[in-house]
Amino acid sequence: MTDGGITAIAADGSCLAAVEDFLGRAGRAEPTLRAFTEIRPDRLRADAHALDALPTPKRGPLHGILLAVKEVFDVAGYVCGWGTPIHAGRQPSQDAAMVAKLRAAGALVAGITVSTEYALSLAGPTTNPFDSTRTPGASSQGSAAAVGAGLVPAALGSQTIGSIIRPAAYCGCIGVKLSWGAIDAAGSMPLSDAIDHPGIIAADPDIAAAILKLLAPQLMTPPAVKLPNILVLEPWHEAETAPEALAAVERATRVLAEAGTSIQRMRMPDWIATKEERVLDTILAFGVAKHHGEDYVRSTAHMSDRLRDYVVRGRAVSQAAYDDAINEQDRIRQTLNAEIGDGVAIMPPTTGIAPKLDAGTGSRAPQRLWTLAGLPAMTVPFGRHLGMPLGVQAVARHGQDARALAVIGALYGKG
Amino acid sequence: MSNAPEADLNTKSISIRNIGVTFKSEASDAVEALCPIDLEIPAGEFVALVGPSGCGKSTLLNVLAGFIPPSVGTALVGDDKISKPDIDHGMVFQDYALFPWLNVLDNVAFGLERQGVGRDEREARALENLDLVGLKDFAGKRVHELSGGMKQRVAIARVFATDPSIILMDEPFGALDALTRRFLQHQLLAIWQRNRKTVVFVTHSVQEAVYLASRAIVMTARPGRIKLDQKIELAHPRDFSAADFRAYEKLIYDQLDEELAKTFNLEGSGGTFRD
Ligand SMILES: Nc1ncnc2c1ncn2[C@@H]1O[C@H](COP(=O)(O)OP(=O)(O)O)[C@@H](O)[C@H]1O
Ligand SMILES: [Mg+2]
Repeated sequence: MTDGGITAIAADGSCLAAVEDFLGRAGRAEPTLRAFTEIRPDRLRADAHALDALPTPKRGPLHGILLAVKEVFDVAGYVCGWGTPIHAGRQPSQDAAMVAKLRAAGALVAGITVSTEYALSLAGPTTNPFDSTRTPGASSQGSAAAVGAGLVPAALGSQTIGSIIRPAAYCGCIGVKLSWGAIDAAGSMPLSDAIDHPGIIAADPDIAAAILKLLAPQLMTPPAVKLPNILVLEPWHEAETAPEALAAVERATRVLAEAGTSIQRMRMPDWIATKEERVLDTILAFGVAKHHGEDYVRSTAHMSDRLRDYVVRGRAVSQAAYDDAINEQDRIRQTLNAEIGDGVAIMPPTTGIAPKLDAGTGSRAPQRLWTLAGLPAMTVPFGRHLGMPLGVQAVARHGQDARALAVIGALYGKG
Repeated sequence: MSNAPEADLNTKSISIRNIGVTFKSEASDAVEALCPIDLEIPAGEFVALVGPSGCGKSTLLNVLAGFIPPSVGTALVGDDKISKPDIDHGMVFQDYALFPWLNVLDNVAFGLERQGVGRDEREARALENLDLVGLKDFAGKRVHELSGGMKQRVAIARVFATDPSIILMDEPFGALDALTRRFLQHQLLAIWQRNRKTVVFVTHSVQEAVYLASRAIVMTARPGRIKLDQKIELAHPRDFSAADFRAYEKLIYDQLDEELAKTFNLEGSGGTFRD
């Protein structure tokens, strides 16, 4: 599905033609894919027209790139409803910092994509572009489906547990969650200030790199090293990993070894494996209660049980318990930074291929720890099983995002 | 905090005596929005009103503002029975209600003109109150040039400017971003501490209620009655993370959650999406 060779601009070089092409493809795909909550052809055409009128020297590095935006990021004039009926009419008057930056570089907002409820709970109507009876993953499900279906080359997503990496992997995309704090999150829906990560989903490494260079230039000037040392990390979590997901990582290991990197095995320290889920849950629940507790009081009837549960549990977390969790988070981050060092750890991004729709949106276990620790984590499509995409996840120490990106680049197209 | 207001300040008590509201229409059944309630609010008190949606909070405020007559009972401001809207009862709505054909300054000065204040003083007072909400530099702007948050700040400045004896605020900060909200909470507190207006403040944020109010009232699900009437005895500035602050929050939540549970048991979980 992503094999169509997506280019930013149509053959005749005009943004308007690219937009018409997108509108046509979206029109055909959307009845089953349901990736978008809103596409505004009139506005898209007007924006494309304005870009086409720019003289070449004034064109930005993302000139004409169609960008889908998850509904948790503000886009002026669009409905950005956070995946909940409580905010169904929410129409921001200003672009989120990320959106503004990318638009200034010439990107066109293709439309707003489906998020699960508050990027946390009830799944939206989106289906997997490779098999519409399967989940696209969650919570950046519309963004991953739109990129995976080849409708747009890139999209914005957000991750507070596993919300970029999991859907990106299930939909055959590159997914990037940078080091915590690397991207200006202004204008995005908060869940927890300590673990919220804005990020991107992209069709290929070049588009990803072009966008990341704008969003986090400080992290994207790689040292002149070839490939970093590879640490093959065995899954430590209780959720079982399917053999085909492990096999993809083994194949990736061989590809990287042939490219001349050294390969070592890495084991997750037991104390981290035992603790990570609980620590993240405490931090997250506290944040949800803080940011959305008021919605619970105002509109309880329109909240899922699961979200109510987060709010109620989060209210009960004392400041001292929260501070403890933050200290634990810091200890985990420091330990993992030291363990990974200048290398890059690789592991499956998911426990297997995308589950059937009625089986939920998949396990968060392989993504969660990197969100908690704030380390850069990325996924690249790598092979298929039953026609569904598999992936490889690469993780570097905090601030060494460029190393993980180099590994993603080395694996892209080799699965 | 419970200091008596100084004699020359314009502030008055509110007496709610057996006030009940039932909405009747020919098209549908009568809706009992508010059970007859009694509430005495001494001059200078800051009351926060919390309760499930639809329990009658806005209805009660509308009665106090004189916009709707109660079906039963009497409401007094000071010694005067409320019978019609009065500029001395300042009301801040959820959604600003500004005059789009006036600029920001004239919106704020509007009430002063009706009070017979002269032009120069009108402008001076309007500017002073715009400054309080951080919008002095926007005085000449048209309303449509402002963001939602700025419009709400203008609406607040407009009410402050008229120096009313009571201020009624219906979820005034609910739609604002966190920073603007914190700023306006500070400004409102500062004004209240200086002028000792009697404030009735509806909010869905229990934290905001405990942060601002000298007394918090929890209402039951519709038809609303008073479920909890709690004095908040904490010195200002209050610390969100302090144990006693959290204890007040819990006290309120414990009462409120019972009422919220009734509303979602009635309506189901409301999700339109698959899990
Ligand atoms: N003008 C009206 N006519 C009929 N019913 C009304 C009217 N205004 C409010 N109600 C009903 O009265 C109840 C209380 O409303 P309201 O005071 O707005 O609640 P709250 O502000 O606590 O959410 C609700 O059930 C509402 O639907
Ligand atoms: Mg109301």
